[in-house]
Amino acid sequence: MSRRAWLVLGGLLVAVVVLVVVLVSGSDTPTVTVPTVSLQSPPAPSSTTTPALATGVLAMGNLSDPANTFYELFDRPAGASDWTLATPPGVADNGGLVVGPSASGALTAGFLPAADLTFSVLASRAAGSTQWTPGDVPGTLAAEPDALAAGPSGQTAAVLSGNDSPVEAQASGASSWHRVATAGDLAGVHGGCPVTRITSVAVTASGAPVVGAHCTGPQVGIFVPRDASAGVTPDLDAPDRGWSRAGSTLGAPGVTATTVLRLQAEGAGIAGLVEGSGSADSSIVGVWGASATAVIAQSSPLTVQSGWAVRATATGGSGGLGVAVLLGTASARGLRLAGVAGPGQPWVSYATPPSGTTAVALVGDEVDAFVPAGSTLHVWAATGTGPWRQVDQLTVPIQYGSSS
Amino acid sequence: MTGMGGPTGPGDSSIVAEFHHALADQGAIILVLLAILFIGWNQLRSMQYRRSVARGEAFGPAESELPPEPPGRRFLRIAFGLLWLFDGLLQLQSGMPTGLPSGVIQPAAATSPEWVRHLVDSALNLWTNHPAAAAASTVWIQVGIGVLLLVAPRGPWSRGAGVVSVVWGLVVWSVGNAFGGILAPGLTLLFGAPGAVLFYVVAGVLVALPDRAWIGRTIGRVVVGGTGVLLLGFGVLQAWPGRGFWQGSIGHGPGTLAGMVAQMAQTSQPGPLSSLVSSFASFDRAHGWGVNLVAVLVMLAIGTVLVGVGLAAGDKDAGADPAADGVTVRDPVGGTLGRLLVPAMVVLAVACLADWVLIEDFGFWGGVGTDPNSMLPLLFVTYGGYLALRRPSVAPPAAVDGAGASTPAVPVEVGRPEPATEPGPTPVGAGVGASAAAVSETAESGLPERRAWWEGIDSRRAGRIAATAGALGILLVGVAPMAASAASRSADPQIAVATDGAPNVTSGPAPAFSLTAPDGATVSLASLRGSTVVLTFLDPVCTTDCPIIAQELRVTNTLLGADSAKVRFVAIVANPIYRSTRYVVDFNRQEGLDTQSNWLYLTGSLADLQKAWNDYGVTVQTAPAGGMVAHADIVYVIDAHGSVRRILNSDPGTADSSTESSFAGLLAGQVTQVIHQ
Repeated sequence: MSRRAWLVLGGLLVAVVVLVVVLVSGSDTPTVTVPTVSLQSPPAPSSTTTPALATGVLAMGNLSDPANTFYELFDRPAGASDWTLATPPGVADNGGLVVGPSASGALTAGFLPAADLTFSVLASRAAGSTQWTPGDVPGTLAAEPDALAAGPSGQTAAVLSGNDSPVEAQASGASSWHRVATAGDLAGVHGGCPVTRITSVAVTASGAPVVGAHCTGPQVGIFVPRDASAGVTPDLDAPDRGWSRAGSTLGAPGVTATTVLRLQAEGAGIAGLVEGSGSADSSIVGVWGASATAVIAQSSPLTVQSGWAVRATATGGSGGLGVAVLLGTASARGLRLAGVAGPGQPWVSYATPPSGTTAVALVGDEVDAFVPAGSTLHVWAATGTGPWRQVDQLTVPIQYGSSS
Repeated sequence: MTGMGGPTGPGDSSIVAEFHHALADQGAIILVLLAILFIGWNQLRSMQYRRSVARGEAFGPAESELPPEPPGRRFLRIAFGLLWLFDGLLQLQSGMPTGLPSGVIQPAAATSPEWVRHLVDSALNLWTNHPAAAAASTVWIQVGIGVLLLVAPRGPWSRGAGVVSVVWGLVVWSVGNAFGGILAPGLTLLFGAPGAVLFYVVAGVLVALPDRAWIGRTIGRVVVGGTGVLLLGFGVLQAWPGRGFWQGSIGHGPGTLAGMVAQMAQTSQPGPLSSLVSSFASFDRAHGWGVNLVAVLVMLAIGTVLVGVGLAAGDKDAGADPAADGVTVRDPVGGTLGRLLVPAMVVLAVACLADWVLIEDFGFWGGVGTDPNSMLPLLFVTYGGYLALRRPSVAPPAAVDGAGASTPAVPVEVGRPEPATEPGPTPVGAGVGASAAAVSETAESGLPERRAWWEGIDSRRAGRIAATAGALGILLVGVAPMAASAASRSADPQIAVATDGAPNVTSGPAPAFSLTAPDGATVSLASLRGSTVVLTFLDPVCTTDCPIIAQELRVTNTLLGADSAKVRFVAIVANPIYRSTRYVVDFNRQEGLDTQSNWLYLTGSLADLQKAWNDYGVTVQTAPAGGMVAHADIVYVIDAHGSVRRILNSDPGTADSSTESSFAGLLAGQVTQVIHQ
C-alpha cells in the first residue's frame, strides 16, 4: 500500500478514535445536582402521654414506597375518648415526624429531612389550640423519638443529627437557639460514660434539660445539668461542661452498650426506656428519676430474644410513670407488648396485639394499639392484660403522589 | 445483549417526531449529495462518450489494474456490509430514541461489574440526553458503514471501511452491549455470547488487513481454528454443572435456557414465530438434559474438527477437488480431518440457523432489536475463514518493468483463472494516474492532439470513487450530529418540551409585585427594569420539585454565560405557612444559591404573596396529613421593559438528569432569545 494510503488510513483511524473518546467522555456539561443529605431511617413509632394530652406518631400510606409513606400525628386530649389527626400542615413529612409534648398540653412537632429537603422545620401549637405556628431549628433533627422536647414554660430543646449530636435549646419566646451539649461534652464528664451520640432530650418541670445518650459500656447515659437552676443553659465552659451523669450501671447481665430509647419529663422527674445490648440477647429496662438530679431507678430487665427488635415505644401510662415496648420479629408476624407501671413494678405482658399493630399508646389504665392500613387507621384497646377490642377507625386524607 | 429485542420504551411522540424529523433532514442531505455525485459521474461519462464518438473511438472502461479480491474477503465484506445495512435499518424503529437505553443498554449492563456499568452509563447519558439525534446518527453511521463495505471492494477506502467497522463495532460492543455480557453470569453461546458485534469487529479486522495478509492460508487457519477454540470453550461452559443448563426445570421455574427462551417468546413478534419459540421453550423445559447434551456435543465436535483443521492446514495443498465449474479447488488438509471439514461446516450452518430461530428468536423483534444477534455473524466469519482456506491467494512472481523496477506483488487466487480483461477497447490515455492533458496522435493526421484532463479518467474507477464518497457522506451525516450532541452543554430541549410542552410565546405587561429579599430590602418588579427577569414560584420547604427547579435555574444561569449579567432570577415564596425569610435563607443555602449574585428569593406578607400568586395565576394549596403544599410549577421570562415574553411549564417530570439538563437548556435558549430580540 502506498504511503499516501497509509496516511489516509491512519488519519481516518485517529479521527474515529478521537470521536469515540469525545462520545464516551462527553463535554464539560453543567449538570443539575440537587444537594442531598444521607437520609436517616425514620424513628420508630412512639407515643407520649402527659396529664393534658396523649400523642402518637406512626407511618401510614404505602409503606413500601418512601415517597408515599407519610408520618401522621394523632392526639387525644385528656378526657377525650377518640384519637384525632393532628399532623401539622405545610411541609411534607415523608422523612419522619418527632413531637415534643409539654405537660401543659402545648405541642411542638419537628419534620425530618425528606428527598431533597435537607433541613428541619418545626411547628408549635398552644395548649388546647389546633392552630400551628411555624418555627425553625438550627440544623437537622436527629431521627429519634425524643429528639424534640418542650418545657412547661415554652422552652424547647432539640437533638440534631451530625457527628457530635449537638443539643440546642431555645428559651421561651426567644428566636435564637444556643448549644447546651454535644456528645463530646458528655463524653468528657467526670464519672460519665463513653458517649458516642445523643439520642434524646427532655425538659423538666424546672425548665432544665435532661439528655439521654448511647454509651459504649454498661452505664446508663442519662445526663442532667449540674446546676438545675440554670434552666436550659448549662455552663459549657465549666470543667465538667456543666453536666453530670445521673444514670447508674444497667442492671442486666452481659451488657456492653446502652441506648436511651425514650426520655420524657414526668412531674419533677423523668421516665424513660433504656436498651442494653451485648453479645447475646438484648434487654429493655424502664428508668425513672424522682427529680432531675436524683439517682435513676431501674426496672428489672425485659429480655429481647434474638430475632426480635423494638418496633414501638410508649411513655406516660399509669399515672405518668408507665412505659411500654412493642417487640416484633423481622417479618412483623410476631408481636409482643410488655409494659411496666413504674419503679419497683414488674414487667407485664399484654395480650398479643392485633396483627399489623405498628404503634401503641398508654392512656390511663388502657393501652391502645394502632393498626394502619393505607389511609385507614384502626384503633384497638385493651384494659390491663385483657383482650383487645376495636374502638375506633379513622380515615386519613393522605395525598398519594404529592411527594413523588 | 443487543438484538434481544427488549420491550419498547415509552416512545414519546414528540421525541419520535423529532427523530423522524432529523432522519428526514439528514436523508435529504444524503440524497442531494448522492444526486450531485451521480450527476457528476454521469456527466463525465457523457462527455467521454461524446468525445469518443466524435473521434470514432470505441467507448468503454479501462482494464482493471487491481488484482481479484480474495473470495474470503469478498464474502466477509459483502456479508457484513449487508448486516451493517440491516442493523442501520433496524435503528429506524420508532422505539429507538426512548426505548434503547431501557430496553437494550441497561439490561445488557445490569448484571455486569460496576466498572462496566460505569462505562455504559457514559453512553447512556449521551443517548438519554439526545435521544433523537443519537438514534438518527446511529442509523446513518451503520448504513454508512454497510454501504462503504459494499461499494469499496479494493484499495485503502475498502480497508478503511474495515477499520471504521472495527471502531464502531467496539464502541457498540463495549458501551452499548456491555461487552456482550461476557462479564455477566449466565454466559452461553446459544444466547448471544460473546456478543454479535464482536464478530462484526473480527470481520472488520479481516477486511482491514493488507492484501499480502490474504496470501496463503494463514487467515483461514486462524479464523477456522479460532472458531473451533470458541466452540470448544463455550461447549465446556455449556456442559459445566451447576449453571442450570442441564435442567429443563429448576424447582417450579424453568431451567436457565428454557427461561431465556421463554422470555424471548414474550417479545412482541408475529404470532406463529412466538408459538414456535414458546414450543421450543416447553420442549427444553421437558427435555432440558437432552437439548443441552445435543448442544454440547455439537459444539465440542465441530470445535474439535475446526481446531484440528486450523492446526493441520498448511500452505501446501493436500489434494485436488474438481469443482463443478471446472476450477480446481485445493484441499487444505488431507486425511480424515480434510474429509470432515465440509460436513462440519454444514452441521455448523444448520446448528447456527436452528439456534438463531429457536433460541435467539431472530434477535431483532420487539421494537428495539438492534441486530440479528450472534449466530449469523458467527456463521459468516467462519465461512469467510473457510473460503480463505479453500481458495487462498498466492503471491505472483514479481514482474520487472522496462526500467528494471519490480512491480509490487499482488495476490492471485489459486484455482481461479486469471481475471479476464474488462470488455471493450481501452481508451487511449485511460488509466490510473493518467496525466490531466494526455497527448496522443490521431489516426488521420499523425499530428499530436491535445486531450482534456477528464478524458484520462477511468469512468468505472470514477464511479467507484463517487460511490465511496457517497458512503463516506452518509457516515459523516451520522457522525457529525453525534459529535455535536456529545459536545452540547445541555440535553436536547426537546426532552423538556416532551415533558412540559413547548414554551408559550406571548407579549403583555407583567403584573407588578413588591416583596422582601432575605436581607430585608424591598424588591419590586419595577426596580428590576433593564434586566431580563426569570420569575418562578418556589416553596422553601418543598421536598421534591422546588429544589430541582432551583438547580435547573442555577444551571440555566451557567449556560447563559456572559448574558447572565443581563438576567435576574427571581423566585417568590409559594407556601402560605413557611414563608418567613429564615426559610428562604435556609433554602438558598441548601441549594447553593446564596452566592449567586443575580438570584433573588422574595417573600412578604401573606396578602402580598397571595396577590402575586393570583396575578401570575399560581394556585397554592395546603395539603393535609403530611402532604406538601401544592402549587403550579411555572417560569415567566420577562423582558427588560417589563413584558412577559415566555411562559414555561417547569414541572420536572421524571426529574432525571436528562429532563433537568434539558429544561435548563430550553430555558437558557428562551432567555437568550428574549435578551436579543
